[in-house]
Amino acid sequence: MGDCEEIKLPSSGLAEDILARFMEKAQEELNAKVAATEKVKGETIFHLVTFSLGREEYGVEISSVQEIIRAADITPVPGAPVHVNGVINLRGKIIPVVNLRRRFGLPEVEANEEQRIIIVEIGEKRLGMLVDSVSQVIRIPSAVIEDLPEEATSLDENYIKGVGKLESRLIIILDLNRSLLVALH
Amino acid sequence: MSVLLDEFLEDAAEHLEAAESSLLLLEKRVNDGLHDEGGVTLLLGNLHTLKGNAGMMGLTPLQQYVHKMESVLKQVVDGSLSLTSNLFESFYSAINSLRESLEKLAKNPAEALDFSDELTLLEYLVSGGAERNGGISYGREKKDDFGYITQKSNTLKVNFEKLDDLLNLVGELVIQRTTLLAFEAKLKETVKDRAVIEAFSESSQLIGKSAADLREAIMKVRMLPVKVVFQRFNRLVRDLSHKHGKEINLVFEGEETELDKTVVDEIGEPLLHLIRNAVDHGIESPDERRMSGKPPVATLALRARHENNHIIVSVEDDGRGIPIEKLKNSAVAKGLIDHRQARALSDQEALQLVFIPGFSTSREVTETSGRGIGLDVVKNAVTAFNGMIDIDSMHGAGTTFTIKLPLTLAIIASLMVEVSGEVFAVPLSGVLESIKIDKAEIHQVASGEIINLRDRILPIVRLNEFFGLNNTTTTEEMEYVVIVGSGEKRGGIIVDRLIGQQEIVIKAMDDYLGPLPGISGGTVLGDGSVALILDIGSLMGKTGRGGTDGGL
Repeated sequence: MGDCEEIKLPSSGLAEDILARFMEKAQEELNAKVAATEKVKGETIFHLVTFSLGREEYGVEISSVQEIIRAADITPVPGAPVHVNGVINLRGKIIPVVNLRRRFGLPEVEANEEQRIIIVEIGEKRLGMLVDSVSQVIRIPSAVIEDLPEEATSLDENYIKGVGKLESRLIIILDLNRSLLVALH
Repeated sequence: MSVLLDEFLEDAAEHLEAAESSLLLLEKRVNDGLHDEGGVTLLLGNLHTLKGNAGMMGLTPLQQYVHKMESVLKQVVDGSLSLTSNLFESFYSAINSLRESLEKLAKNPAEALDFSDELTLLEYLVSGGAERNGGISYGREKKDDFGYITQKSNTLKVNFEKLDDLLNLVGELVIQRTTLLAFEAKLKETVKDRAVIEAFSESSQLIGKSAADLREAIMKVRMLPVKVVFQRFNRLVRDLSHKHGKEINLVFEGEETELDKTVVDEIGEPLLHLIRNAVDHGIESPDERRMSGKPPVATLALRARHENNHIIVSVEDDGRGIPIEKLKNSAVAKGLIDHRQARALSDQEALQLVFIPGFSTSREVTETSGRGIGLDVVKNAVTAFNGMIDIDSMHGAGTTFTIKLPLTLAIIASLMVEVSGEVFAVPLSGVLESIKIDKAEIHQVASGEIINLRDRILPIVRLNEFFGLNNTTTTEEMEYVVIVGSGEKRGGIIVDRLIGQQEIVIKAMDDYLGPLPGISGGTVLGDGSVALILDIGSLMGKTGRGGTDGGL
């Protein structure tokens, strides 16, 4: 399974632009080619935006990612759920930002330059996810994605859709609905 | 639901409303003994468009029914049928059933419409007058009848959200311009060429001005004349006065006054209750009026005007007014106040009693306004959008309710304050004054902290404690207190710093954030960051309990 294509995103600078270009390209390819040829092989290709949180690498499907922005100017909202960092202004709309570390019970880190907010769309809702850093956009075939073994799934981990196994690493693929909308314990 | 059906429904509702206004006008003219062919033609025009659109949507029953209404009217035009009060009634009810059917379609696009009962009714009615002519004639129409088809429209219907998007984009523009300003400052440090700097700052200023103009232009597009709300009450007052055997002349004043669409949307409900109240309780029967030497026909006036960045809308009747003594007695009987308090109240203060929840001066519950909706609900509705309501009444001469509203609900003037390094907006409509007081003047009592301002004891809220924010230890001996009022409540809010006044665009907070005590919304500041807007009512409601349930 060496056919995973990568575009390295710079940790600072114009990551957003590159992502935008990539998303466009990926969409075109998807429309033109994927359906015609790759489906024949009985495989679906997942396009993921990957990011790091603590020591782990996570991925979300690119179709639900609207954009990635720098984590600046988050206004705290008193009285909001604990896992919400605050709100940001995204082109005139006020959007809540979820601190994924808090959400997943990881220790907090000081605000830093590497942090990004991934704006995702879940149905009608638009939310930001604060992550440690955004790493890359990756295409992986469904064959390398495995469900989490049942014994490894506790109630708290059902926000995981599956695990992408690549040569040297694992990518935890998030179920956005569960990670952000359903209350965790 | 398909976009097409959506558009049809919206359009149809408008045509029905127009038809109803035409009908009302026509009825008035006919009652005044005038023959108004133009009015009938106008009504025909409204119905014709509706019929055509219904046909395009494949809504055959609706189309046929409207067609029937049209043919009845055409008989009126060619004189074979006269406009009797029965006919008017049947047309009003026809408009009602058409409205109902539109509502059904909105809920279920596949709803099978059936107007057979209504058709029979209409036919029966017409047959009485149409017998002589042997039924309905489909004679050649006069050429004039088609004038309304070729009428050109110079208006364009735009979804409100699109305007909101435009406004957001302008907001972006304004924010990006602040980046230009920062860039300009940098240029001044590094570039020697003065001409370049000047040219740059000039275009930057022009961009700023265009952005401001653009924002204003978009705000203007959102303005609607208050007429659109007022006109809805024609029918209500007509129906209510028939039902109660009262004669009422509804007059409008200043109906061209323009309001932001957000205000127009909100004001209908409180006005509805005030008007029902006036018709039900305020206005007397014609006999009663004659006995007290008044003209039998009562006047109910809806007025609108601009005043200092506010809109004043009033509902004024020349009915029986409110007897102050009875009002006080009733309040005492209900246990809302005691005898001593009642005696101490001035007339104006006593009138305010009507806004207390559960208070109503009428003994009997009526169909019109006795549905558990009191003036307290009206007051709440008005204060909810930063408005104020006042009552004035003269026993025997009438009652006036005056509503004062901000020009737009989307943009409000605010006092910007800073607390623990965060910026908050306090709606100016709720700010009475801001003062600087000595820390020693803040007294600790059992229920919390209070200050004594000109012999009035005011509870105070420390915003940082209420919100559970970091305590900023100031060495200063003085505290800034913003004195606020919401409804009857008064109080003070302690802040770290007053920043100044600013117009802000209100944005709703996502419900993902849950209920947020003390916060009514958010706004985007000039530098692109978000500031929260304080909810004075909720802050005052919690006064005395400090930050116990407001923190993170």
